[in-house]
Amino acid sequence: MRRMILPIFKKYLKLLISIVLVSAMGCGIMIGLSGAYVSLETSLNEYVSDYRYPDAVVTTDVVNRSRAQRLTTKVDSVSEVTARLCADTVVKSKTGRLLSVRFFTFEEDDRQKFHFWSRKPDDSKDEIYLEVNFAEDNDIAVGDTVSFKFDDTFRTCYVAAIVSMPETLSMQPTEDSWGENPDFGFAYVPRRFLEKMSDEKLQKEQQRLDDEQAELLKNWEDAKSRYAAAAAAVEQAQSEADACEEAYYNDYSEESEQAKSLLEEKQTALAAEKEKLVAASKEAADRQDELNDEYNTLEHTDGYDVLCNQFQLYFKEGTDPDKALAQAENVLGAIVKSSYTAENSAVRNRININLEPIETMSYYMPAIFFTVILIVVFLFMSLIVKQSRRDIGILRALGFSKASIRLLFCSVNLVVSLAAVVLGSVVGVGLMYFVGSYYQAFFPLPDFTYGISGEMVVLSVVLTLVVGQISTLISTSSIARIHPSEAMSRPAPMTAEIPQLVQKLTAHASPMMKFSITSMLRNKMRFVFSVVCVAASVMMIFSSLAFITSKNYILHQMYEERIHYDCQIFFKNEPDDAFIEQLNTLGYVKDATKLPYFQSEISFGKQKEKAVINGLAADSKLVGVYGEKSRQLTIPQDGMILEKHLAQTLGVSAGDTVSVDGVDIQVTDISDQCISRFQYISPATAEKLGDVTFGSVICNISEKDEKKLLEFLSESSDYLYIVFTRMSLMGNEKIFRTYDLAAWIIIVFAIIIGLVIVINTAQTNLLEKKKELCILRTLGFQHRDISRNWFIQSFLQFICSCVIGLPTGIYVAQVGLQMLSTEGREYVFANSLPEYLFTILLVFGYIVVSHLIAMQSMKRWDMVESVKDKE
Amino acid sequence: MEQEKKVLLDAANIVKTYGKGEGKVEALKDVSLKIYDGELLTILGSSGSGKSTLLNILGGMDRPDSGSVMVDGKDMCSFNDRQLTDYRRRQIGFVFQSFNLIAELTARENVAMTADTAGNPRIVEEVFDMVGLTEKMKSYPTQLSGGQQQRVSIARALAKNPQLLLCDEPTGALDSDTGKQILIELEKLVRKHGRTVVVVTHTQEIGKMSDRVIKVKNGRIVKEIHNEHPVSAESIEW
Ligand SMILES: Nc1ncnc2c1ncn2[C@@H]1O[C@H](COP(=O)(O)OP(=O)(O)OP(=O)(O)O)[C@@H](O)[C@H]1O
Ligand SMILES: [Mg+2]
Repeated sequence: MRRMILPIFKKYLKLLISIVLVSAMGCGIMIGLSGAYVSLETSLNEYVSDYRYPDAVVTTDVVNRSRAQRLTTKVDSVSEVTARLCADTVVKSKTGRLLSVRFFTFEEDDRQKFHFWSRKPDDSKDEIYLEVNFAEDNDIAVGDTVSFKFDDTFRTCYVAAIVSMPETLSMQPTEDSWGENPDFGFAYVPRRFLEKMSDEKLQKEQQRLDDEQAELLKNWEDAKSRYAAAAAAVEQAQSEADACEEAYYNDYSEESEQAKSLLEEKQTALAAEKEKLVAASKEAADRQDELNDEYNTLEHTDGYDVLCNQFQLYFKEGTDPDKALAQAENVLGAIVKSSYTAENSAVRNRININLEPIETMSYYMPAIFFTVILIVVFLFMSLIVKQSRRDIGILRALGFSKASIRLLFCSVNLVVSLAAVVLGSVVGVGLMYFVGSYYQAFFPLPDFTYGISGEMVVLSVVLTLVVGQISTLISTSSIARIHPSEAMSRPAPMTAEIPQLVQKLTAHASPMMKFSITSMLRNKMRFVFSVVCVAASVMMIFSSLAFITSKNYILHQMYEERIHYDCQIFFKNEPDDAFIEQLNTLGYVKDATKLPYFQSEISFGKQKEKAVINGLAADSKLVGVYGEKSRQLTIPQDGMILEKHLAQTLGVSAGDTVSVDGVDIQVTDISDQCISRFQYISPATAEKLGDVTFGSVICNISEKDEKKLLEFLSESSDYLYIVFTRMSLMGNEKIFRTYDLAAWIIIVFAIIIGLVIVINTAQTNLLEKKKELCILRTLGFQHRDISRNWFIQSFLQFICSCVIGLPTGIYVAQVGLQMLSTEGREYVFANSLPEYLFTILLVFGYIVVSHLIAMQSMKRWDMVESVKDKE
Repeated sequence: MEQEKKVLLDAANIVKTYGKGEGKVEALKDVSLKIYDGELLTILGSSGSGKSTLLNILGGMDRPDSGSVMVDGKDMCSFNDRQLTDYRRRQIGFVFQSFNLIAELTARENVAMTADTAGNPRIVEEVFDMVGLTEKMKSYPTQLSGGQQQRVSIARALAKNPQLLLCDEPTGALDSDTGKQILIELEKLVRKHGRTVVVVTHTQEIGKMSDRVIKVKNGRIVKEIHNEHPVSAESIEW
């Protein structure tokens, strides 16, 4: 029996090799992508913990060391607190471009939280650290100097280090972001540097206070002497009055009457003045108290342009972060502005947003591929057994048991499966390192821990072995059951009637053509087998391409449908009309329009959601608002356009009235947006909502004028930051890098697996018909005729495969994209002509290539040999 | 008399070797042979003597290592694949020892298909009538007995109306009664229809019905017998 194994290998070598290849690719992609995902996840988590991302953060205006101290002593579970000052400002790069930065202060001890990509400290200079992406994007290196705007003046700082730390994973200026903006970045400055700056400011302020106080004191002295004079005058007047009165009683006269009333008048006036003076002196004293307060506060708050000063809290092991954070907030009291735990942080959110789609892609698509591959292997394996039908018959006739025949084929399959598993693991590990290295570079992570997903390895290995064995067992058993004599003869072909229609259609076709069609229709299983295999390739290629299409669709929806402006400028307050006018008269800025930006609470019934609302004029050409099926929506004068997902969560449909921060607004339309979902109202409705969260202006500007605009904006004290659409697109594409990589890997695998499957299907089809084709050749049919007809057959199969494969592909893609979608980003299946064309043409190309290969091998056949053996 | 007969095929100095080195088999060693128009020729020889190899070369299915096969004044060995195929299509009818019918097609379809390719085909029904299988036209090869299959395969060869019919052990897989039926058909072809038939066999008796018998041994023609008075196929027993 063992002697039989080798001939089987020889006979089906190519088919077996391709089974190994295809299975190995399946195992490889399962192991590789899941491994890369696991590595990325582990590395991100390790990064966050190794570089001590805080367990919780409380933002307040006031962050002083004494409060930090108080937190550590009063809250048991807090092990450490860092007080950080933070503000948004601008930095001018070497090239003179103004960049928005959010800077944080750090203490000497905080250095361990940084990963230094490069560092060159210089104590003699005011140093600043820049986040690595920000620095690289703007071409700033260690040793450069940048101008750092602080308190309305630019100071030259020395870039002492290029760093990253976990928080730099989240680069967005606000939660609801437009993606990474290379013009916006993180910087770190030593607290002492800031203190030095704030000391200077403090001294100035103190001087002012001192002056004011001196003035006040002088006034006070003045008032005091005036009061004394007045008091003396009053006394004088009183004694005069007394004398006068006495005189009046003693000697009443007209004159004395007059004198008396005069005196009385003088007395009242004096009393009034006295009262005033008392009030004045009290006021002076109050002001002085106030001044003293101010002075003291100044000392404590390091007061300057504060944005989100924060306490970073580190908890002891085993602490419930929510509870501990609540305690800390309690201790801090009313000064708390906002807080979050590590779990709810922007960093975690950012990690999740990145990981979730990759996770789905790394498991879902490989699993789909693997399933397809298992089916194909099943079919190929059954085919091998089926083609060995005669050999099995002979063996059975010679007295071999069914069990031994099963054992024979199962051993063949076992060897193949083992080879596949070993090769697959090698491919998988290689892929894991390949993809992993990209993941590492994309984030960028200082350390990357490569790891393999154990479950996926076990799953792929076990499935490969088990399915291989089962398919072999099933097909071997079914053939071993056939009586040996029957098995030795050819299986009776299907003798189905050819449908009338086909008969009519082919009435005038060439004999070859008739033969092709009849034999195709009478070999339904074979036909179905080929169609299924090719359809599987179509499905795999199409569905994997859908991931890229969907991403492109998201970006298209955002940047081609919605945004028709070049930049959006954010301000602390709503800019006035004069400012807009000023912008529009700059010359290089066009179409500047206010786009009021609200972060409001929208409620409907019992449902409440935070959402962003933009005020936009109905006739604005700068923003396109689209509903389902790309129907353009007009912004209503009084109503609001609500975004689809928000409408769903709230249970709102068009026509309902919702409450926006207490103001009732009717929803007139529902819009359809994949990411960065906004609600739209008219400027008039915006007025009703009161103060904006941010003032914002959208406008058009060419790239060369960006610097001028930045320069202009830096003059405005209200200016926060600017988002250039072109950069935001760049940034968004960066966000999708990991997604892209995973998607492309899947595509490449799909393309390769598809090729192997299609070629093999063609080869097995050909081999099965080898004898018939040789007979045709001996009967005098030209190679070309046979080739043409064979191709027509393949083409018909290909059409059927597309008819099956494309809808399946669409379905698989839809499910996959659905799974990929997160709360903030919806991946929708988008129809794209190039995708259909690419899939169809590629697979058609495969059909052509495999046809050529098949025909080439047909030419080499030994006709005599093939027709000689009796079956 | 021989000189007057038209030569259909003229094979000269055919050598055919299979394999290399140790396993080298010289299937044909310098074989020369003429086939005349309208004759019934039998090639006799034991198993492995090279009969099939010779027939395949004559039929344009295989090429010799050296030697020439002249057809209509051209050397078949210099034909390209296209010309060779054309030769098979136009001039040759092949009857294989193992029938080689196409299993997916009915008997009729098998025959009709080749008939369609020929320049001057016969009516399919007529051919079936000739081999006496009219009632089995709609059957598939697997539904037919060996003899019936062989008759279908002869019908297929006849449908092309070829000048030369090459039969490799046409009776080999059949019992003597059925075999005789086939031989009668072949005899009819030559005597009645003026076709040329070459029959390869290792049954000596068959030689008695033919005009000429060539004996092959170890890849060489060892004997050539002219049968002035061939017996009828009817009377052969083996
Ligand atoms: N493809 C091949 N490769 C190697 N040797 C071959 C091949 N075909 C035939 N031979 C050898 O050539 C010799 C002649 O074979 P051939 O088939 O012509 O014999 P035959 O006379 O037809 O025998 P049989 O009566 O058994 O059919 C044999 O020894 C055979 O082993
Ligand atoms: Mg033979």
